[in-house]
Amino acid sequence: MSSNLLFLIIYTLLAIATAGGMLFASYLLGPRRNRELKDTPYECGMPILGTARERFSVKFYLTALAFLLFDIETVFLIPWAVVYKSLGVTGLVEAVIFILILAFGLYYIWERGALEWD
Amino acid sequence: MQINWQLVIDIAKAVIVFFGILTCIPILVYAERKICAYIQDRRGPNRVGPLGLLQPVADAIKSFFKEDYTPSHVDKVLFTLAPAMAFIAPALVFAVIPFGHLMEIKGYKILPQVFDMNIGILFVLMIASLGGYGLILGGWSSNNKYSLLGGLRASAQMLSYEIAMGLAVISIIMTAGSTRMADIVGVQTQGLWGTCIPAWNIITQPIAFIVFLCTAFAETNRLPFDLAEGDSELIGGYHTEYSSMKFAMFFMGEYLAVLTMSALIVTLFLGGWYFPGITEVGNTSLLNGILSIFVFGTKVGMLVFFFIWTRWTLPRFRYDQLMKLGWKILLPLALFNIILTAILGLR
Amino acid sequence: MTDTIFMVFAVMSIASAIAVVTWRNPVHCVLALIASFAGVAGLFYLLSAPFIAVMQIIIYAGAIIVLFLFVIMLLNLKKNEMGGDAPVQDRLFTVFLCVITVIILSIPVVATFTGTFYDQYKKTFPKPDANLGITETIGQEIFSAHALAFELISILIIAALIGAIYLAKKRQRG
Repeated sequence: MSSNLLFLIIYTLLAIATAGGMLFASYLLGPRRNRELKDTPYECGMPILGTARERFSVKFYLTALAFLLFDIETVFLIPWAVVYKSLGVTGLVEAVIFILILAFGLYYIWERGALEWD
Repeated sequence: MQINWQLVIDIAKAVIVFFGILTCIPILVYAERKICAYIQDRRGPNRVGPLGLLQPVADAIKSFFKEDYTPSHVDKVLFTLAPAMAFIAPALVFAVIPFGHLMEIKGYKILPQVFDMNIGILFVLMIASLGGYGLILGGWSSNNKYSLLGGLRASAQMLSYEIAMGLAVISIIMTAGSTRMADIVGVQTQGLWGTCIPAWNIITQPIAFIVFLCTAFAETNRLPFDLAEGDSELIGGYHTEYSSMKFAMFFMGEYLAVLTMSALIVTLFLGGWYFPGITEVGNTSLLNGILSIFVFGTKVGMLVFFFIWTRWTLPRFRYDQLMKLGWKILLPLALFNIILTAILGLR
Repeated sequence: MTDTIFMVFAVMSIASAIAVVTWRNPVHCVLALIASFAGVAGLFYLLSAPFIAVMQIIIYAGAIIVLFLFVIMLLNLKKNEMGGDAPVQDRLFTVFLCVITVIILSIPVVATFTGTFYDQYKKTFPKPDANLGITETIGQEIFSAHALAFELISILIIAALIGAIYLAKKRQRG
């Protein structure tokens, strides 16, 4: 039946082969005209200011961290979601406590302004 | 040697499905250009072939024959890998989507689904969590500050909306009591309150549907969530330095993502291949199978139209509005919906 | 068939793990780490623990790696800031530590599959339950036997959240 990992592997290899084939084909088919200006980063023709290797806002890091923690929450709720009917009220109470504690976490980062971007 | 025809059929199916969704890309490109043109009171492509139908073919040939330039300031390995990743990830999602009813012909079973996984929906979340890498690595490897900003924005945006998406999916898992795609569709084939109205999740889970729809737009990086490209601020965003087929592959990835997202919404919320009166549950005849695939295709087509329609109607969000929507509206809404679903389900 | 797939995943995770510690470009290392996690996830799947396999990708490859990537990009260490090669004696010491670790870790592995312990193991241990790794079993287990541990996880997460916000915001205040 279709639950064999083999089919997924074939499908994945097919996708990788197609992607590689397209990259290779365009590498073979395209012309090559080297010009010095092509080697500079494109900034709409303006003189280039600074480099791309600057340090950026810590906001992105905070977002990734908050994401990681809430992602773990999501993951822990999935096993509960599958069997919540047989777990009954006990399971519901446990899950609601879990959700509320993390909702408090959301409230905390909200209050501390970690979600503000302006 | 005895040939295992069942195995041959299943392998052939995997190959056909993959090239099937590849064929959909030019159709989507044509549809987008034509619909956009009519929305803007233009005619759209109409020179190449009848009604401009061959325009996508011409586009493809053009991208192959353009100069494939890798600037010397980029990280060459990642610069090549990034478009491939952006293309492969959305294609993989389609492997677990059931797009029709099981057919039985002369004892051979044909299930219109490449890989019937026990945890199909989790597989989708897994691929979604890897989906952002193509964009951020493309942006970083380009060594161009606009590309980097585009890539960063893209990944922060995808991260923010992934949580709400995961939580919306949890309430769907709760209604189905299973993480298997076939079971999620199966629940939706029953009648609601003893009537012929199907128990599609869009009716039983309206909040989850709205949350999922918003996150679907954000995950595909399309307007109103296309801040990663934001051409008026960031030149081309993460693909500024790309040319030729590498550039085209980012776009193929985007259209594949639109296609798989539509297929996913159909499967999770709109009853998948089921439509009352047209397809029957448990009927394994060839006719029923083909009809179910047709029903599924029609629903996906309508959603793709909705994606295109939205893109040419709504303006782009500001970045702070985007983050506010993801963290302060969709996330609490999805959490609330889970608790609500649990209370109603246990009643 | 399963043996072949197992070998592919095993080689994939080990080879990429070696790449992580030997490649010089940190962003390339991060990519190799993703490949390594994918290999480990494949191994989990073969052990009929599909839920753990998917979690391996979602949490490690999907979330933690993004954090690594952001840190690397946030710092953007220039070549001269990274420091040169370590002195010879430090590197020799590193090699020594690695060898010791490998020996210590391989003792239980070798002991498991050879000698009397393995015979004993085969006799006394029941066959692993195929349903052990599926989502339903995990849900039943977490919410009945391990309910307290589960609630404590949320406290742990919230502690991490508060700590991170405090560290990130500290500089801006003062």
